[in-house]
Amino acid sequence: MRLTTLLLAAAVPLVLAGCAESSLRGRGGAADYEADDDDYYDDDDGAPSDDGDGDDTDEPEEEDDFLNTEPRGTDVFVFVANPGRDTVSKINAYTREIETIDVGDEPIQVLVSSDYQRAVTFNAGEDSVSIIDVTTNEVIDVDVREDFNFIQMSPNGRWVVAYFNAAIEDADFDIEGVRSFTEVSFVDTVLKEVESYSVGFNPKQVQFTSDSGRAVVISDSLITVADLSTQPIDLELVDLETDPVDPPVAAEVEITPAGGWAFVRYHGFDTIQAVHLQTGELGELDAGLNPTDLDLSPDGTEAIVVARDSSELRVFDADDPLGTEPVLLATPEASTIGSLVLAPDGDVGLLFTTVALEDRITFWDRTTDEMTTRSLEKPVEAVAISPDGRSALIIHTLEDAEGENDLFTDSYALTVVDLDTWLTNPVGLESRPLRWTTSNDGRYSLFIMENNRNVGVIDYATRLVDDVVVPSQPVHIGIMPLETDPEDALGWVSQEHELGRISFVQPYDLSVETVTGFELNSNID
Amino acid sequence: MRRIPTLLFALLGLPALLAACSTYYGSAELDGDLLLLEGHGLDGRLFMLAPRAEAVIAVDPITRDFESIPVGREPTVLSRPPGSEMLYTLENRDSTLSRLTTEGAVATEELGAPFTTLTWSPDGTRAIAWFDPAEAADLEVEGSLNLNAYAAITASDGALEISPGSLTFEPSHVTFSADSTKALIATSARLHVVDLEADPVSELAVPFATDDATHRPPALVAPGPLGEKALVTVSGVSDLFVLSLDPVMIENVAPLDRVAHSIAWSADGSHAIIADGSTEVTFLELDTNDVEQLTLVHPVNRIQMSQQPENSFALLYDDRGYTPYLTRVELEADGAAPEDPETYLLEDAVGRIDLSPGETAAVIFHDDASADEWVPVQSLSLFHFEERAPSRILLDAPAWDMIFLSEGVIADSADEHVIVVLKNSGRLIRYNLRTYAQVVLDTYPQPHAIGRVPPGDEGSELLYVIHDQDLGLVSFLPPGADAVPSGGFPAVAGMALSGLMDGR
Repeated sequence: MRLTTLLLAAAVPLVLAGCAESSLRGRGGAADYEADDDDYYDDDDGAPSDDGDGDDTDEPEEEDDFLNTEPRGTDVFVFVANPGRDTVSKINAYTREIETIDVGDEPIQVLVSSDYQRAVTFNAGEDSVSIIDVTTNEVIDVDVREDFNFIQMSPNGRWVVAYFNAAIEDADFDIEGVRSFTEVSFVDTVLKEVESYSVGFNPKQVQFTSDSGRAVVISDSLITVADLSTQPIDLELVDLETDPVDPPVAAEVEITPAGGWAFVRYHGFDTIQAVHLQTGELGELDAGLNPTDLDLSPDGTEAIVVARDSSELRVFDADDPLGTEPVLLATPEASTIGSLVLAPDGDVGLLFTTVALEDRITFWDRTTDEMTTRSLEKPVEAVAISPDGRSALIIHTLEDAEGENDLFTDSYALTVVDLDTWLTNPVGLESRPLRWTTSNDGRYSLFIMENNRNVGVIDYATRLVDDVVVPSQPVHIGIMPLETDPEDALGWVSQEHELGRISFVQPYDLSVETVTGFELNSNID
Repeated sequence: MRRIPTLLFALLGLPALLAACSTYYGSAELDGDLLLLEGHGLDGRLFMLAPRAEAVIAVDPITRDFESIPVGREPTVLSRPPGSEMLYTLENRDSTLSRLTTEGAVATEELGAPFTTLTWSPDGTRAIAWFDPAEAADLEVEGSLNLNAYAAITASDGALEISPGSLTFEPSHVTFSADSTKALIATSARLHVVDLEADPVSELAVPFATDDATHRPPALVAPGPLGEKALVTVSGVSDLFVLSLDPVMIENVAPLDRVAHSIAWSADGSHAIIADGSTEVTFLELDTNDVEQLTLVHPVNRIQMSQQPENSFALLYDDRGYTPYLTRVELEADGAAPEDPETYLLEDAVGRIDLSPGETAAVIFHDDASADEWVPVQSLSLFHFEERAPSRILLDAPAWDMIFLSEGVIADSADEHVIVVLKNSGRLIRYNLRTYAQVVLDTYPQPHAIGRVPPGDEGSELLYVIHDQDLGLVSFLPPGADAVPSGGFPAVAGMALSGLMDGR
């Protein structure tokens, strides 16, 4: 079993937001935040291969997709939550000016709206969220229901949904007095109002339609569709009609951008459940043998299922999944194909497995549906395609394929791939890569490694990989949104330090500037 | 101007000849503040401050005349900025600053407070007048006195600009950035960074504790060689703060194993070199916190850095008075920890080390703290880095002051020399810093300070020796003097009374 890196590590003293980052998870995980739902009433044992049905022989595929990670900073500021001091540090990434903003008790998470107008903290110590006006630093606190530990923000940044996410590391299940595990709070960050509801047991994920008009809360046996345009919020509860005694564990849920259909993939089932979010219509889609991945095409018109055991892709019409026959595409039989990563434009996909130690990957040209298998230095642990769709970053497993014995065999490694030419640059790594982030123009990626102060810098234009050293152990990374030349790209690396430490890295010239002691610096006057 | 026979005033000064010495490198003041025992040689004359006479005394070594130049009331400080041909005094009673030219012209500006100390920037164009707690304890308060006040002074050719300011806490130390644009004022709880180029002068205060109830005073402040950063340690804390000076912010807090006793910058500004009183000297790469340690056989609490980039080395030693070791290390160009340190066992504990101008040699004054008291030892060591190991020389009195003579100053010698003042035995000893050959020059009693008088319109450079005598006694000798002329070196005495007598 590999280590599981969680999106939010409660052990990290400073939770930092500012830009997208992707984290490397173990193969056992399924949802974005954790693999397992063991704290609830399924019969599984929490093993990494667990799929909740008592049969652990079909290990689920694992994938990382940095394209789905929402932004966490503005174009100028990086926001750092300081849980121990009940503050948020607002750092100007370009001038290094730091302001300290008082928020509620124990802010453990900070998010920033996509229009960069508001930052929102979740304050675990007092069951509230603090809504910060990024321009004026004015703070409004809004109470939410008790015992939550997580917030998600709508694409337009107006709505924040707070709930108890059992998948969070160190999630607290203690009961003091009365406690519910079915509640969510919808916070309107513009009107500073909150509405709370019970939405079904174990809300584990919230998704939004692309217009942010509806929030979809996925619980164990219910999908709750919240119409955020009405006041009060109009809730529709869709019963998934699963086993009421031992409901299956949803491996992933995809919702079409317009909010028409939700597609639910369950561990251990050869079907995909299609749920119409407005009518409540339910349907079962034949997904082949052992569907291990489910993705929506970037334009939302197709739901693509990877059926690992039948070596095929099934492409469903996302607008009419029950009425239109899916397109079946055979995957190369010589390879185990269990995961799919699509390029942002949808024209290219990479097919691979994270279960078997196979040192190859399949390039899927979606314009012709031609599939070409390429060899790699090592098996695949994770794959990401850059925002411009022209490059891929492949993180390899430490274990090598059977019979291989080369200079990468005993090392962590990654490969930078030019998807136009398939020119590659495999690179050995001193430590296990933990997280990476990519500039919005696709030119640079930064990545951090476990117990290692080197920060990797990938230039996709040259496929060169460099490293810079930061003063202490990196925790989170991001790259400021870039609207000018690639030379101006600026990444940040938050690090372990009791006073708060962040380094700013310019990928172009590999320069590093560090600010330490957010609270001290904010008190310089 | 009056000329007063030297002999007369030498005799008048006799009662004070055997006055007890103050502490080692002790106070520059005589009882009654008649004359400060320090001087500045400028334009062929020696200038000294006569506080009671409220004047600066200018002594001409050629004519042996002296002139009394009145300044404000109760002057306490006579200061010469680096590279400047001007002198400055602080006047306590008037709360003023006076600027003197060598011609005797005096311009006085109000400072608004009776500051005790004047600290100049490296380029000599800017200064901070402030209250040094060690000097301000005896100040008499009339009305009210804000010890947190300071004045930023900009000295241009034509005028003085005074910018008053006030700190939150009392200042304890003042230094400047290498480019002289910023003053770094340490207080009991903050480090204030004063932007001297801003109009008006502005300041930012850097705290070192996250709550106002805790005061962590800066202990060591070391501006970087490039003017962009400073290293700061905080009392009782084993962290090293790397402070950016533009913008002002803490860039890095590097954890150290122990509280630093001394910090220095590598020449390229990439590394901090830290001595913490242990046998390990730390070389810290500031951008990465990568640490390399040089382990020696002796503890180190002082770092003496070479000032010449092409001859980059450091002397590492312990001046606490019980460690007779000295290590010389060649520094790596990239600031990393050096290899092959050269460690020498000396005969006595180290008190102070001075590098010769050419950095070919060092003079080591010894101390002894092995007993309960810390006392200067009657020996010194000379150390030519290329020719020979440190060699101890016994003295008949503790070394008190010294002055280096550059190559070529001594006729027929291309070596650097040093003249050491033995106050209690009334001797000047000149040493060749390569051969260690010595010349003993007997002088008048109680030689206290030695310095250089650059030539004026006529004549050549001379050395002055200020003798510790109440009414004033200064002798002059050529730097290359090999013998004492019959009748002794030319001297002038009684200057301390000059202003007083003028006043009457």
